[in-house]
Amino acid sequence: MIKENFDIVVVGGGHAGLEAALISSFLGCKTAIITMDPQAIARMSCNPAIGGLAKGQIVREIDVLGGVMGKVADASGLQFKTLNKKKGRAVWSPRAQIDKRLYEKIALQKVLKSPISIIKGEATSIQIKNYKIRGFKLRSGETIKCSNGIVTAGTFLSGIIHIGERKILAGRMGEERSEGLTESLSSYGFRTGRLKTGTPPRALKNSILWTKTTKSFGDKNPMPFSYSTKAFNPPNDPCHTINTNEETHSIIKKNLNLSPMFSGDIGGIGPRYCPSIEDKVFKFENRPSHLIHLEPEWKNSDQIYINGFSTSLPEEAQVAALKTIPSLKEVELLRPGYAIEYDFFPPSQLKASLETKDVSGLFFAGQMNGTSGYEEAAAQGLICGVNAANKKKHLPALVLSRSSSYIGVMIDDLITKDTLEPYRMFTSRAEHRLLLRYSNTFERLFLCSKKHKLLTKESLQLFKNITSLKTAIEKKLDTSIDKSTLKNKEDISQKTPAKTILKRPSVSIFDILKNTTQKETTIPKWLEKDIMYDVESDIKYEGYINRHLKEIKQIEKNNQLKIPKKTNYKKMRGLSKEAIEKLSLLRPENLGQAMRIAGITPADISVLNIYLIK
Amino acid sequence: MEDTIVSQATPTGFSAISLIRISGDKALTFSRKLSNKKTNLKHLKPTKLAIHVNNKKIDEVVFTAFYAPKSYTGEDVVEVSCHGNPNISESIINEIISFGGRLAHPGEYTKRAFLNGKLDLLQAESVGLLIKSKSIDAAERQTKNLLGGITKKINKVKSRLLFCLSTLEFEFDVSEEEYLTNETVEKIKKALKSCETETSRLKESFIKGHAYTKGLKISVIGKPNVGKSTLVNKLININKSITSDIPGTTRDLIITETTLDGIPVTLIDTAGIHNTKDKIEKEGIKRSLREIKNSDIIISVFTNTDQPVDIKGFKKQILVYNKEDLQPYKGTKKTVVSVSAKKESGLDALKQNIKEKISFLKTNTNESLITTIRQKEAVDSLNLHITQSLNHFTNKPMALEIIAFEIRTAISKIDLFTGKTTTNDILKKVFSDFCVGK
Ligand SMILES: Cc1cc2nc3c(=O)[nH]c(=O)nc-3n(C[C@H](O)[C@H](O)[C@H](O)COP(=O)(O)OP(=O)(O)OC[C@H]3O[C@@H](n4cnc5c(N)ncnc54)[C@H](O)[C@@H]3O)c2cc1C
Ligand SMILES: Nc1nc2c(ncn2[C@@H]2O[C@H](COP(=O)(O)OP(=O)(O)O)[C@@H](O)[C@H]2O)c(=O)[nH]1
Ligand SMILES: [Mg+2]
Repeated sequence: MIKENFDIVVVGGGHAGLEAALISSFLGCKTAIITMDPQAIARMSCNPAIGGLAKGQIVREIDVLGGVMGKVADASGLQFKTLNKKKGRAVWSPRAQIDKRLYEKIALQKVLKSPISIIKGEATSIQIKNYKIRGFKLRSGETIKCSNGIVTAGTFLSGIIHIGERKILAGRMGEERSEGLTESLSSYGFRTGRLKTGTPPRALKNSILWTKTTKSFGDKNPMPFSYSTKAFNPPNDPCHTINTNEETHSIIKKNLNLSPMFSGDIGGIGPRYCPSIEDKVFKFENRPSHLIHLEPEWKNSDQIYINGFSTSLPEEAQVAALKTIPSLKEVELLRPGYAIEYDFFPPSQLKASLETKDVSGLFFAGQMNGTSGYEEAAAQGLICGVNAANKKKHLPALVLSRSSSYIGVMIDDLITKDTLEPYRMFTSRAEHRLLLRYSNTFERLFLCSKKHKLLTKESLQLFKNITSLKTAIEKKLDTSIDKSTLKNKEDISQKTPAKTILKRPSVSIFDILKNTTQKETTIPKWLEKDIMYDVESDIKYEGYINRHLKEIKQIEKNNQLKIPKKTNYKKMRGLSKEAIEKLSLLRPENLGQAMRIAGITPADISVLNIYLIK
Repeated sequence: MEDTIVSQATPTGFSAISLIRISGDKALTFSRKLSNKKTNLKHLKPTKLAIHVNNKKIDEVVFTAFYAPKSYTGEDVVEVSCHGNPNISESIINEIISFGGRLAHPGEYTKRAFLNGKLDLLQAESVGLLIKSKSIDAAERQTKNLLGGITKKINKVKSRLLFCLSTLEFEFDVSEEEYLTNETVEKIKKALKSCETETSRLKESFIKGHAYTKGLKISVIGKPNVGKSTLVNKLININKSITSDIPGTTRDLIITETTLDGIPVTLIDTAGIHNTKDKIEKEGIKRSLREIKNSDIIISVFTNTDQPVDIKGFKKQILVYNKEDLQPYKGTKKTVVSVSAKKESGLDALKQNIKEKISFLKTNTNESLITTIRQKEAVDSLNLHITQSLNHFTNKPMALEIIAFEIRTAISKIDLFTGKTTTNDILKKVFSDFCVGK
C-alpha cells in the first residue's frame, strides 16, 4: 500500500513518460512513474532508430530543453547519418541507427539514478474532484495520490494487434494492453477515438543471404544529437538495402483481402506517411520496386528489422512475399509484422501547455495524443513534465511558439487542428522553416531553458560558451578579408567585409576562417564546426530570415490577444455557424490559435478581434 | 448571426418601379410581416401581394424570394419590386428597419456574397467595376472576370506551383534519397517557367485592364488661345469648356468622359501653359503639368503664331496644328495633324490618329485582364517570387529549401489575389468603393 502523496505521477514509462518523469524530478518535484512493465522503460516499440527527417531536429530541441533522448541516442548509436545533406542546410536531419537494448539500459539507469519512484502496476481509473486531478487507481486496488498527473499510455489503451485475421489483445507484441483508463476518462467527458499503426516483421540474421544485399554506412564525420556530447566516436556498423520486385507485389495484391486494413477490420485510421507495404503496392501501382532496409536491432543482433515492410498480412503471406526477394529466399521470421489499433484522445482537448482544458493538473503526452514516433512522444512528455512542475510551483507554463521550434509547431498543430490520423513531424509543417535549423537549436531555445531552469550548471555554462563563440565568429567576419585565402579572388576588393563575400553561394566560411582562434577548450571540434556553419547560414540566408521575422512580428501580436476561458461564441454577432461550432469545441486560448483552426475565416477573426479589443 | 440588411437597389427618385432588397436570416420573416401573409414565400416564385403600413394599404408589389444558399449573398434574400415612388420605397424600408433590420452599408451584399463563398474577391471586385464600367467593352471584360476568367487562369498557376512545392517537400520530408534527380529538377523548372510566363502576361495586362476600367487619359495642351478648348468641344460634340479669345480663359482642368472605339476615354482640357502673374492661373498651370505627366496620351496644339509646348520624354504625343482656316500648315513634320477646330476640318484624321494610338488596347476578348491596383500589386509580387525561385536553380550548391520558400510565398500571393486569405484592411478597401444596394 503506497500512502505517499506525489507532486507528479506519470502513467506510462515510454518515451513520453521517461522525459516527463526525469525533468519534473530534476525540477525538484516528488515524482513517480506507474508502468505496467518497469523492465520496458523507454522501449523502442518499432524501428531501431532515433531522429530522421524532421525528427532529428526535435531530438536536438529536446536536448536544449533539458531532455535526455539525444544523450541516450548518442551513447547507444550504431551509425549516424545526416539526411537531406545535399538538399538544403535548413532541412538537414540527423538520424541514428540505435542499439535498442543499450538504449533501454541507459535510459533505465537514468531513472534509477534519480529520486523517481517506479511503481509497477496498471492505472485503470483516474480520480477527479472539482475539475482537479486527485490520483489514479491501479488494477491491484491501490490508489496513488498526486497533485498533478501526466498520462502517457502510448499504444496500450484497449490495444488490439492484427496479423491477418488473427487478433491479439495487447499494448504491443508481448505486452499486455491497458483497460479501463479510457472509459474512466470518457466518463469525465473526454472525447476519444481509434487510431492504428503498423510494424514490419523481424527476420533471423542467419537466414538472410547477405551477399545479395547492398551495404550502407553512416557518415564519415558523424554529428551527435546532444550539445553535451564531447568525444564522439560512434561505431559505423552497416545496414543493408534490398528491393522488392513485381513478384513480391503480386503476392501482396493477392492477399490484400486478408489484410485487416483493407478488409475494413481495423476501425482506426492509419498514418498516411509511414505506409504499410500493402498501402505502397496499392497506391503506387506502377512502381516496379520499393526500397527495403535491413537493420540490426542491437549490436551484433540476430534479429533484423525489415524497414519499409510494415504489414498486417497473415504471417504466411508475409513470408511468401519476402521470399521473392533474392536475399530473403530462405528467410525465417522471428516475429511477423503486425498492425495495432488503440485509443487516442483528440488533442484539441489540451491547452498549449498540454494540460487538459477541463481538468486542472491533468496532462496528456505521446502517442495517445494522436502522434506517432518516439521523438514526438518524448518532446510532449518533456513539455508536460516541465509544465506539471511549473504548475506545482505556481510558475507560468512553458509554451513554445511556432517560430521557436518544431516542438512548438507540433503542439500548436495538435491543439488547433484536431488530427484524425497519426501526426508525425515534417519540416513542411513549419512555416518558418529557415529559422528552425538543426545548427541554431541552442540559439532558439537556450534562453527559454534558462528561464525555466531546465539545465544543469554544466549545460548552462556550455550554452553560454557556445553563444559567445558564435558572437566572436560573427565579429571576425565584420572585418575585411584576406584575399589570399580564397580560391576565386579576382573581383574582390581588399576592403570588402568577409560577411559580404560569404553571401555568394559558392563561398564557404571555411574558405575564409581557417580557425576560430577559440580560447575556450570546452567546445569540442565538431561543435565548433557546427557553429561556424550556423554563422554562415545566418549570413547566406539573411534576406529570407528577415522575411520570416517580419511575418512573425504580426503573428506574435495575435498570440498576445488572449481569449477569456468562458467566452460564449453563440452570443457573438457576426460569427458564421461553422465558426461558432468550431470555436466552442476547440476553445482557443488566443487569437493566433483561433486563426489557425481550419474553417475559421478572416471575417470570423475580425469579429473575434473586435470583441477581444473591446 | 449577421444582421438582416435592407436597401434600395435601384436609383432613388421617381421611376416606373423600384427594387428593394432584403438579405439575412430574417428576410423571409420580415417579408411575411410586411405583407401580412401567413406562409413563407416560395423560392424563386414571384408573388404579387399588397403592403400595409399603419393599416393603410400603400402599394401592391411583387416579392421574389431566393432561399439560402441559392441567392446572391448566400443568405435568404427577398426582392421587393414596388412602384417607383420614393415615398413608397422609403416607408417599406422604414418598416423593415422597425422590424429589426438595418440599412445596408455600401457593398455589403457583395461582401456577404464573398464571405459566404459565392464569389471570390476578384469576382467581387468585378461586380463593383461592372456597375461603374464606362463602356460596353469594359462591361464585357468585367462580366468575363465575374464569370471567373482570371480565377481559372490563376488557379492553374496555383496548381502548378503546388505541384512544384509538393515535389520539393516530398524530397525534404519523405524521400531518403541523397539527391534530386535531374529529371525532377527539370520538371520543376519547366512548371515554374510556365507559371512565370503566365503571370508575366497577366502582369502586362494591367495596362489594358486599367485603361478599360479607369479610362484612358488624354490631355490637350498648348499655349493659351491656340484653340484647345474649342478642339475638345468639337471632339466630344458638346459645349463644356468655356472658349474665348482672352488668353487663359481655361484656368482649371476641364474633364470630360467619352468613349472612343469602345474604350473609355477621359479628355482633359488644360490651362494654357505660359508665364503669368495671376495666382489662380498659376495654380491651374501647375495642375495642368501634373495632369500631363499622368496622361496616357497628349494632344499638343499649336498654331502659326504659337509654337507647341515641349513636354520632354513623353512618348504618346499627337502634334496638332490648329487654325488651318487662317493659314494652312506649311511645316514639314509628317506626324503633324492639321485641323481647324472652328471650321471642323481635319477632325476625322485627328480621331483616326487617336484611335491608332490607343489601338494597343484592342485585344481579343478571350484575354483576361487584371483591372485594379490591388490585383496588380498581388500579381507583381507573385511574378517576382516565381522569378526569384527560378533564379535559385543557377546557384551551386542549390538551396532547395529557399526555392520552396519562394514558391510558398508565391502561393500565398495567389491566395491574396483571389481573396482566399484576406486581411481586414483589404476587405474594407475593396468593398468601400461600392454603392449601397450592391
Ligand atoms: C506496432 C507499433 C508500430 C509502430 N510504428 C511506428 C512507426 O512506424 N513510426 C513511428 O514513428 N512510430 C511507430 N510506433 C510508435 C512509437 O513506438 C511510439 O510513437 C512511441 O513509442 C510512443 O511513445 P509513448 O511514450 O507515447 O508510448 P509507448 O512507448 O507506447 O509507451 C507507453 C507506456 O505506457 C505504459 N502504460 C500504458 N497504459 C498504462 C496504464 N494504464 N498504466 C500504467 N502504464 C501504462 C506502457 O507500459 C508503456 O510503458 C509504433 C508503435 C507500435 C507499437
Ligand atoms: N479661326 C479659328 N479660330 C479658332 C480656331 N480654333 C479656336 N479658335 C478661336 O481661338 C480662340 C481661343 O480659343 P480657345 O479654344 O478658348 O483656346 P484655348 O485657350 O487654347 O482653350 C477663340 O476665339 C476661338 O474661337 C480655328 O480653328 N480657327
Ligand atoms: Mg481653354
